Amino acid sequence: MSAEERIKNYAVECGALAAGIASVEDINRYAPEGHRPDDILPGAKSVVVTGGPPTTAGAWRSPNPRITTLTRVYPMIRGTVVMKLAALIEREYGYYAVFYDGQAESGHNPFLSLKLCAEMAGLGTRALAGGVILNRDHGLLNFSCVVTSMPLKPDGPMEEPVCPHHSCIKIWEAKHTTPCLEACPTCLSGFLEGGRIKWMQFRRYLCEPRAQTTSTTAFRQKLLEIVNETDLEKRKQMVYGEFFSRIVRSLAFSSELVGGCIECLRHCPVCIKATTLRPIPRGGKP
Amino acid sequence: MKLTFAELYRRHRDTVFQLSLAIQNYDGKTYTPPPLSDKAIAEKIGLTAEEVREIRCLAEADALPASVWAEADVFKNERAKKFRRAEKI
Ligand code: SF4
Ligand code: SF4
Repeated sequence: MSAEERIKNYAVECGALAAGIASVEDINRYAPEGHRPDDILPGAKSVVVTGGPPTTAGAWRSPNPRITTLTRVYPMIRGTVVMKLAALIEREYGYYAVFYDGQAESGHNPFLSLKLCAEMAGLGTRALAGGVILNRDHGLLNFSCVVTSMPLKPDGPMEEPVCPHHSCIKIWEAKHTTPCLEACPTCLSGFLEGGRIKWMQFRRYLCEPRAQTTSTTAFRQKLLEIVNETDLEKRKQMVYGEFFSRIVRSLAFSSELVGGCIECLRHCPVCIKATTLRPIPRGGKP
Repeated sequence: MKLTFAELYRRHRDTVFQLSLAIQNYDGKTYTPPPLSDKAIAEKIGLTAEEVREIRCLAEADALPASVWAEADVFKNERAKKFRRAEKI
């Protein structure tokens, strides 16, 4: 078994659904200076990217969107998966390795774009839904990675795009919309031409309140409102009220911080296929 | 004369915000214009990268009124209900 196969198989053994390898050279063609793998690890040659499900197929169907956020699957373990992968690379192959699971460098800017790394590792392609990476088999994935000085054979980006799905092309031809665009006109605009994305705009700042409803920005904005409130009774109600309490709980237990909205992808055919289960008949008498 | 941070913020907030990752445009192959790093924005508008970072972080938190956070739940609950009806769960 090659080192590449061993590393990717180990990622799956540790809990990832899929893994791929990107070359630093490919990533650096797009990543700005200061946000490249070699800014994290000088001499970096490869990035091993792991992907897993944002939540269970069951939680994807919950009528309560908060359940979907509270039961995040891969985000809970993705750091551990790449921590173990980094240890494997350092101990068994003798190359430096740094793991990264998307922590912010400042504000909303990451140290390194995991979406770009995943794209360059062939784990999927950009979607009309805000440029997330869609995987043909697994739909929406969450990512984490290991940046390493180990030279590995890269998988490289996929040649055929996953998005738009053929049924979205048909919808576009008939109605000039797609399930994702229809779901969230606030944040998304786009245009298909010749069965491909011609252009797409993602207004990330408008997505944040929905995707990170009880996260750090919400906390800071609410805090400012509270300290500016001069009516003491009202201030007390703001602090003890349900919404601010939920924000504080979310920060205290890291429970509803990010990934709080999947509405643009609920009707995405790629995601629906990936999250639709068929019960496996059990043997024996019913 | 050196400007105070409040003055710098008022003067550059919109430009920094527009050039950052806040609004992302994709042409089917790549992001065009590419969202810029703090360092690249700083070079473009003649500030230091630290000044741009501070302006950007403040602008990100300052972009929307405080009411949007609680309102977000209304949108998500509505959408989730629609999905439930569509899937007949
Ligand atoms: S995650 Fe939610 S808010 Fe963001 S683009 Fe999708 S539907 Fe819109
Ligand atoms: S619904 Fe999914 S496959 Fe269809 S255009 Fe949107 S992101 Fe692409």
